[in-house]
Amino acid sequence: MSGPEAAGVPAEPRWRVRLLAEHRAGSVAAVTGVFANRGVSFDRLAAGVVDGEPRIDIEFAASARLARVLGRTLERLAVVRVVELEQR
Amino acid sequence: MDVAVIGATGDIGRAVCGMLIERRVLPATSRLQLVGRAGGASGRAAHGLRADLIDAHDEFAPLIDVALTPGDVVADVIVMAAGRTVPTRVGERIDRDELAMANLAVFQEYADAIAERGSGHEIVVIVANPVELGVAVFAERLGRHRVIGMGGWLDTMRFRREVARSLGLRRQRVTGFVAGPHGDGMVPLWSTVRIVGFDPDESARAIAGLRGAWSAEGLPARVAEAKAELEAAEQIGIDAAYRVVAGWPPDLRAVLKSYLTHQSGAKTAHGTAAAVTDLVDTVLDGRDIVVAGQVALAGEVRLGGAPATGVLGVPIVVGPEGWTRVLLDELPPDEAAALGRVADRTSALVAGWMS
Repeated sequence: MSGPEAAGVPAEPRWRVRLLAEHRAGSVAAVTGVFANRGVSFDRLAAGVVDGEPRIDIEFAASARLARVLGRTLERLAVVRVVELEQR
Repeated sequence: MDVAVIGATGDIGRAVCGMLIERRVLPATSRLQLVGRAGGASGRAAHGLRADLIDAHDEFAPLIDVALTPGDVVADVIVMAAGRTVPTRVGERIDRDELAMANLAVFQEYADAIAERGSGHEIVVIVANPVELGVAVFAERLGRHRVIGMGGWLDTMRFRREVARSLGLRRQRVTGFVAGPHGDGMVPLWSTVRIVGFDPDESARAIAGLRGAWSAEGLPARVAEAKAELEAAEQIGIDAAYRVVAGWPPDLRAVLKSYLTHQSGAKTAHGTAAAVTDLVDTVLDGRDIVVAGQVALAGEVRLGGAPATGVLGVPIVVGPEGWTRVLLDELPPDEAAALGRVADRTSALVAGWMS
């Protein structure tokens, strides 16, 4: 075991963000850039067209404050139409 | 990291946005948020500015986003450049009380929204005037270490430039700071000036030659006298007024040349934008760097034997979490007295504006 948990630091809460995004080149790059700029890695990333709508689903671990920042920042992207953030 | 410019479509806001992109302060993966007002001319213009900036800089521009309400401001660094500006007409005189009355509600509206909806970590750079009022309002709501008034850095850059010009050097060869309020009341700290490439004796000799026998305490009277001379020269023509300014010593030029630039109708958008861009770059840089700025003090500096409180321009260490400490060694008596006097006056002014 290594990392924060090994040092006795409690694990950060896990989150899932579901995005309805534009189906065009650069959409996933814009979304992942928001996470990369804040040093947050993904536990899971899925992108595809579901029921005719382009969707991106991401699971990650972060503090509640940082998850909220990520959610609000994703809402500001021109390629993102809907953001649903939930704790897992 | 993302930057929001509140008041993006004003003279200064536009220059700041352009410079942040041109100097590559914002990488292509970050976001620049242009903040205007829904239903107003700035709201319409923000969309146009976005299109224009992308036209100009598409190869390396960051993502550019338009926000039209205070609640939609989302960024790591927020530049507060909204509000009424001075002067609005050529030849109009500056009335800081009138400005304060006009801009207090604007400061409060955005500060409240950021306090309520923000991440709790945004750094706010106050550009709009009166800078001291803006710092007081935002610091009260967000915490004082997250709020920096850029007037102190702009005044410092002007002072360094004027000292450098008198020595035939470029600005980057001169260090030193301006303290106090932004504008006519600033206190150029000659005791902090150093010249890169000169040894201490050479530096001291050069500075003594530039400064003459004047003390910091005498500066307000010299400024008042010089301003009267300038107004008389303006009657002849703006070029005559600039020639008069050119004959003054560096501290007077630092105080009054920008006043003349405002009076000319050109305003000071580019100089201001350069200072703002510097500050934003410093915050985003991730290293602690010493600049000057207006901050809400809580006793970090002693003036006249007592701890100073209230908003005042001082040299500060700035990093990713805002300003962390004041870097001001003990000042010579004339500078300490001058700074103490303007600190008291500024505190009284800000308290009056906020009451």
